[in-house]
Amino acid sequence: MSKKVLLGIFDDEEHLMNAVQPMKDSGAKLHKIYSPFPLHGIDDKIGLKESRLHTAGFCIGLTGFALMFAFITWINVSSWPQTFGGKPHFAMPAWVPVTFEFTVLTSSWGMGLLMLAVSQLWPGVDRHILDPRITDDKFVMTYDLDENNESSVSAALKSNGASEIRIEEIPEGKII
Amino acid sequence: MSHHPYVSPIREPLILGADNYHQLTEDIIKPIENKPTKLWWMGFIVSAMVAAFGVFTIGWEIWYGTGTWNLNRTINWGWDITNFVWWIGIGHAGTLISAILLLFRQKWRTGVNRAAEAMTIFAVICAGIYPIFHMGRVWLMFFIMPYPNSRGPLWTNFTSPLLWDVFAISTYFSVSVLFWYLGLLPDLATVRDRAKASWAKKLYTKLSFGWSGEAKHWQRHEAVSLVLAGLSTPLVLSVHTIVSFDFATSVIPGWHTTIFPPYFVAGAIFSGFAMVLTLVLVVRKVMNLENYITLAHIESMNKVIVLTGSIVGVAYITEIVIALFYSANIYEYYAFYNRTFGPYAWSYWGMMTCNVISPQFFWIKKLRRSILFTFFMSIFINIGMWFERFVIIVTSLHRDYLPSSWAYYFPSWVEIGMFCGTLGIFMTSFLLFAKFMPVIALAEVKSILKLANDKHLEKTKLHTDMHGHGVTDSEMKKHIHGMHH
Repeated sequence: MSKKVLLGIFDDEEHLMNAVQPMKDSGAKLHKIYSPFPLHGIDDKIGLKESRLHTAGFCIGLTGFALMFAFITWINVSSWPQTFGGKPHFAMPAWVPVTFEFTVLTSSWGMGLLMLAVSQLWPGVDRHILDPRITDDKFVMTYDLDENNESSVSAALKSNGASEIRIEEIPEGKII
Repeated sequence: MSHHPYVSPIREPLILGADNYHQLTEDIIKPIENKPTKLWWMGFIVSAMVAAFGVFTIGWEIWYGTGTWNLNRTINWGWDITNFVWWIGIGHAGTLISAILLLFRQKWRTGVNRAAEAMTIFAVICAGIYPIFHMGRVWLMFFIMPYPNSRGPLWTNFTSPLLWDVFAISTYFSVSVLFWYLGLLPDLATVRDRAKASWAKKLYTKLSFGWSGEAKHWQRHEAVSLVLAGLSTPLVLSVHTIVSFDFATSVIPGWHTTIFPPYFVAGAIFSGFAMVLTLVLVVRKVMNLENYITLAHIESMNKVIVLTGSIVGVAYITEIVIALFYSANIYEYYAFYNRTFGPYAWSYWGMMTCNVISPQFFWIKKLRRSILFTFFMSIFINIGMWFERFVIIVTSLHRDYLPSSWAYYFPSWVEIGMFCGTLGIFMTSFLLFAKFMPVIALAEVKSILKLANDKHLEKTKLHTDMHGHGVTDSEMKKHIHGMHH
């Protein structure tokens, strides 16, 4: 089933930022906010929790570190022990570079790919672009019309500085 | 947490002319939508031809072997490794601008980071070519990766700097690509949303991964960018440190030097900034981006050049002082005597002139802000930094412990061809990038537009002049008094 959303389009990020609280007070249930660049301070205003990607990146990096360290240890100590200049087989300082590089590699790619996956961003994703001007100079608040009353939200948007208000139909199966 | 845009009112504007987002989009995306200019085609055809010649010389080298290079028993590393270190060093500026300057909250990086990151990627590709083909039987290249094999339990040597290099450079390349591409996503989405031709729409829809600009995505995007910057910073330092280990862990006089890691890293940033300047000075002119890559950007980069150039100069002198007064080793004395007065003295003094003396001109503000002077200097420094690697590699090798095996070395046409070829590959890739992708990080520049455009700064400056200065003591006392009550 196709879905309808109401778009409140703003010309400036300040207008949108200032409208967030009064819109909430008017009882409208905000769906999402779209902008051409990151809006600092918006997260607290609309109650977005801090991303947990940092923690994930740390864990992935730690896993990479442990795997590479174990791999080199196994090779140099057990699978192919060789003596260089009478040094011990467990020659940890010499393993630092490779272990470090692998830690960086796993945590960067792990975190990057995870971000793309949880945000549903990949080539061929079936996303409906609400307005082509979002990536140019427009700032947009969307309201799901299944949860909101069209006329009251429109009126609230209008009184809070939206320069344009319109309904966008999302075809079935598409995400926004 | 996130990088709050703040630009001090006493700063120079970073954006001239534009004071609204749409104009920014127009200025930066237009060159992608327009047909390429004559100048672009000329550059592209010439560099593609040079690249093709490079590919031919590589083919020649694969067919006939590394014997086509003029290396000999004494001088077993020559142009090839010189070029490798030179290109890797050049790559470092991109990461410095995009990662380290992000951590330092330097807003001017937004104008040049995209081009610099692209430059990093192409430079690392060029660098990689050299050690790969130096292997000789390049089809056995996969031997450098540790994998279970049928040659007995035979593994790569994890205690060798050459293997560290394999990991460092491949990680550096892959993380740089990731960082660059994630940053490109929002800007590719802008190109997508403006595209008229159906092929362009399709292409950029795929390339932009369906970016929508949603607040949660931005939040994650910024979180990842910041962590990637934090990871890339030690990464970039480690890469050239490890490259320097290729030399420093050996026992060759002139290579066996503990100051190599910081000295190589400073040199890498030095040469990288020179290359960034060469490229952006051309790009801003050809693509009419003078309002976004301003004199303020150029001056900032020249300041980095004078700093890193001076560090490199100190390193050169330190090396000599250590060899003469500290090493107590005749081979060390001789290595440096031979470097400065031996048969390769021309390369040593070439290096000294280009890298130590010439960047000192950048102490003069007028010269830091002169485009023509900066352009010539950037090329000069690139030549000087190439000489530096040549000096380190060839002059340390060509007169070893046994005078009967002393030798001289001059590159063959295959070596010269490969070097020109990588220049061609580099320029071809960069021109293609400049044609199909936004050369300026559009979304990032938008986020500083309000604070760093010239009209805004003019206003705040006026405001400070009126209210900041000229406050009398009694007024100030009254104010402080008022605060207490």
